[in-house]
Amino acid sequence: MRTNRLLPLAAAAALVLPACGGGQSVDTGGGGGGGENTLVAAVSAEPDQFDPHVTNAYASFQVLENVYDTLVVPGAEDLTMQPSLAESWTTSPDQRSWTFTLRDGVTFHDGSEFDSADVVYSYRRIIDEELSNAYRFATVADVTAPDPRTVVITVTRPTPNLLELVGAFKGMAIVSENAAEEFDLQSEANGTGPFQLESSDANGTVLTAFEDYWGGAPSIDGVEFRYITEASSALTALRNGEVQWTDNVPPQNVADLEGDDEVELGSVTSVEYFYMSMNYAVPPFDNRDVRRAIATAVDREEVTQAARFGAAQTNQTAVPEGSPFHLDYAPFTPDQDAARQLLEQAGVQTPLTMGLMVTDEYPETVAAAQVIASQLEPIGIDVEIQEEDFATWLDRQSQGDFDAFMLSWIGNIDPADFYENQHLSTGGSNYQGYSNPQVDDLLTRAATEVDPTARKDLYDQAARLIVDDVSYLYLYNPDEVQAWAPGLTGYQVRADAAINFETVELP
Amino acid sequence: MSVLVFSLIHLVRGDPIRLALGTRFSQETYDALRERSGLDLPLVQQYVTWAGRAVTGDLGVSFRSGDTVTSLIAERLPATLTLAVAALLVALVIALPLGMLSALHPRSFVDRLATVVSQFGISVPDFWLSIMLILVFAGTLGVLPSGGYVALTEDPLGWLQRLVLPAVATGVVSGSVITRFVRSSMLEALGSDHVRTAQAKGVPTRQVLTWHVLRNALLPLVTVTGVQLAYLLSGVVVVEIVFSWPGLGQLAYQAVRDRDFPVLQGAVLLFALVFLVINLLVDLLYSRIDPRIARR
Amino acid sequence: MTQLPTPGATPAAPPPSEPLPTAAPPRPRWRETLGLLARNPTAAVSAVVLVLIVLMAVFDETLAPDGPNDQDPSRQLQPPSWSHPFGTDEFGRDILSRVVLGAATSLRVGFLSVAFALVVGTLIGLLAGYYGRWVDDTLMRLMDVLFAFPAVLLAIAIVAIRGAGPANAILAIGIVYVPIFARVTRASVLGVREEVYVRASRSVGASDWRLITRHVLPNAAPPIIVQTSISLAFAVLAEAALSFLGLGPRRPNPSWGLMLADGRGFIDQAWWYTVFPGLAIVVTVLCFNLLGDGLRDVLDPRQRTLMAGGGR
Repeated sequence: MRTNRLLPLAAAAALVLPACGGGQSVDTGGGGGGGENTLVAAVSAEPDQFDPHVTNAYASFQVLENVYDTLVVPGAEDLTMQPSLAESWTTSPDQRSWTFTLRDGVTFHDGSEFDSADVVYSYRRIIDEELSNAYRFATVADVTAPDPRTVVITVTRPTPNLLELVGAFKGMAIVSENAAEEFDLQSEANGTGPFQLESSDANGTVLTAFEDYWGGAPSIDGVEFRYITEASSALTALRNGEVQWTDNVPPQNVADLEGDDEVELGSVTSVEYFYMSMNYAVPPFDNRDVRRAIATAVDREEVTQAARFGAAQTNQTAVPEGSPFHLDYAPFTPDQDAARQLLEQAGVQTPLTMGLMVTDEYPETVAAAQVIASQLEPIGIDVEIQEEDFATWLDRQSQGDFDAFMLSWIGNIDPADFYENQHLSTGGSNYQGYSNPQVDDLLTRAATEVDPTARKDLYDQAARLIVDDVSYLYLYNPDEVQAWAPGLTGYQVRADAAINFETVELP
Repeated sequence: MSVLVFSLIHLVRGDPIRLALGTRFSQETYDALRERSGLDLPLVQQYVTWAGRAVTGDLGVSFRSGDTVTSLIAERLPATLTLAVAALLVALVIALPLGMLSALHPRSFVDRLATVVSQFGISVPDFWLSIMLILVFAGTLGVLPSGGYVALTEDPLGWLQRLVLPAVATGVVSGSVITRFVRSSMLEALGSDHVRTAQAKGVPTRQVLTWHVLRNALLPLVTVTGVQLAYLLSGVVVVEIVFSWPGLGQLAYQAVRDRDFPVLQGAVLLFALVFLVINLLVDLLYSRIDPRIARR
Repeated sequence: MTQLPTPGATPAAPPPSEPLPTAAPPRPRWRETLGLLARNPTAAVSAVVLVLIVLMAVFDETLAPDGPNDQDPSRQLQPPSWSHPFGTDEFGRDILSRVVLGAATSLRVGFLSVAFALVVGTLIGLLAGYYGRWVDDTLMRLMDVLFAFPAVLLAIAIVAIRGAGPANAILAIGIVYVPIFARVTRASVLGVREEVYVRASRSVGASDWRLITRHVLPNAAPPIIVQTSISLAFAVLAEAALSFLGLGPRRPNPSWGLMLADGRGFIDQAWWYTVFPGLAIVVTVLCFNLLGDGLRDVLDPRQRTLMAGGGR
């Protein structure tokens, strides 16, 4: 419910203020771009659109992260959920209802005031129009607003990960009530975040600081995102001061950049994980021993060396070290003799051929596949690398038309995100066709377990089985590497690869 | 032709809806989006709707961004036009003097040089030439940016700096083709009966060259230049990709990858149109240069 | 890419509306042709280099110093040295070996796609030229449509429909070049169709088939042969461009275009990764082009007089 629909004074002030801000700064931020105090960020891809509830593109979320807010937000350190638009929350004793108390004094970029009706509208939009994140509300029965400062979410069963579901990323952004009718959300935005979406075209996207931001106006005047596909161009632009920040840092450049005084480097192991998955419907990959033989033959260190020049953490499970949900479990040691024995034990005829489907959309899968191919050759498995564009790749994946494929999952925070969809017999992304009643049982119990310790224990048990059965052959968590101009402060590389310029200060 | 293009495009494997939704979504979401995009309708109905709108200049909406196809094309057009014109300029600067000199002095040093240069030019993949130019001028020498695009109105110097390498990479190749045409058509004109007659009549060489030789040599030159321009305008796909040049070729390539059918249909329609218009212009120019053709 | 495709870019292709000179060119014997060719140093050298490249492609495995896919993480991206004259790639593979092995890929795709274009294009050109009227109209209109479609995109679309892989790359490149052969053939056919001797045989009651094989085709052969050599040059370029876009042969099999695509990511670290495969393409294409020119001098007298200086 937007009370002050028209706030001419506030709007006028918002227009005037950035101009003042630009005037007072004398530091030169470097070459092109907007004002002196504007951060120019080089990103590698162009956003497809700006409707947070519709887009799925990482490039779009890089921008939207700075424009919209969610009820809760993952903390920069360990990604546990912190207050944002919701100041606090409680759950009912039966765990069937969550009550959120909203922050006071939050305004949207158009000047209207934020209240519970905006939350209900945003969530109802996602649910009723079956938008891409509707699945996150699978257990949600209703979203209501008993008063302007309170939102109640009722669930059909205990949902201990509800905070992650509504807060993990800006796909769950709160837009103003009726925003979809009043704005063209594909190209416009009306959020509550620290920056306003000013304009966007084939060259870049421009954000300006939102002076009335509830967390305090950002110290920079704005952000200009520039699309620079080529990493070498982005790094050159960073060195000569044309841009002050980029995430377009290929792993092979890391070694060079570490000794470079003109560039500051930030790196953290991300929650993304790369994996290989074999089709249970295609013999002999339905044979556990064959899958285990392959898992034993793969040397993850060599894979990460070639695919990421070492800028990754090898991992035999999904959740990276550093996350509270990490499980230290590594049953496989690279050993080609043992792998050969397992194959013999399985009674399969070698050489056997395995098509390994990868996509140039994720170039490191193409590189990793070549290493894996060379590691499986000595044990008698002839890997045929099938590189497809992503559309074809997805098509083949959904039709089960593959022996094995490689891809990564990103944006996972809660263990439910890591395992349910992928390894439940009925999981929507269980394309490999894994079905283990024990795992189903553990995951189903964990999903409603509200005691954190007991919950982690259930997930750990499930994860062990998943690894042992090689439902996924987990490979590594890549490092999220970003680079910026020396002297730029207030920025932190996050494990979820969200980029937030709210507190950045230019040199 | 549009029927052909339409059905060809829809033969492509891959589903734009799945691509838009990524890897995690519910079936209900999928169905809802499919219905909204009109992809659930029979193909014939989709075509009729599309063609009906296309006639009025409405090419539909991109699956990927939701922008209208016309606005996407309009956004890319300046970059493509800039590169095409610049490349053609580079090509003509190379081709005209080189081609003419070698035709006037066959078997001379200039002629041999021209042959070598043009042979090399048509043999080098333009994307490799692009990479080599980046390697030398952006990498080793560090004097020019390795890619990107800024509008002329925004930053004239930056515009020029970013234009040089892609224009040279595409211009060298086009220039080599044109050089060969200039040379051979001038030789043909030089050898023709009326030029020899004019020479025999004692018409001054300069006059023979301008009135008889150039005029006749202009015909094939106009054709090949037109063909080259059409080629350059339809997007030098790989060079655009290498230089991150936001042109039509890149748009069409991305549309193929995204299975963004409306954008692809629009781009192809535009390419066909460009081709037709340039052919028409070439024909018109022909009749201006050589009135006999108009009567044919 | 590449100038690949525009058929008009091929200097040998005469404007479609302009039939070749009506005087039937004397048919050179192949022995004579070879002799003439040998006297053209550029063409001769090109032919020799091409033979070497073909030999390299045939005996690839024995010639390459290393297995093409032998990886060694300890020698990632090493600059050229005595043990690896062209350096190594990100997997520690020997680039020289991969360039040698890439020849086979390039040539196979090049030859097969041109063979496809040659057969289909010549057939269409013969039919259109010989039967004229609606056959001509329909076929050549179809060729115009193919011609109007930007060639790279056409090839990309074909590969997108049929899936990536060498066979589809061959088909895609082949289809792109069909119109050129159709036009060249049609122009030659139009040139001889109304010749006295052809009309004479027809009045004597010779069948169409006999006329085409005995009279029309032999006369159309020289420009087609020249076109074949030049098309091979463009086909190798086209293959490189398709591979560069990831639409050609599958990894890890070496292909020059793929190597360029991969090397581009390491342009800051490893110049050798893009320089050597690129040079291999240039040399091969250059030789096909020069050989094509040489063949034209020998086989196509009209063009030869042009190239030799307009008969002055």
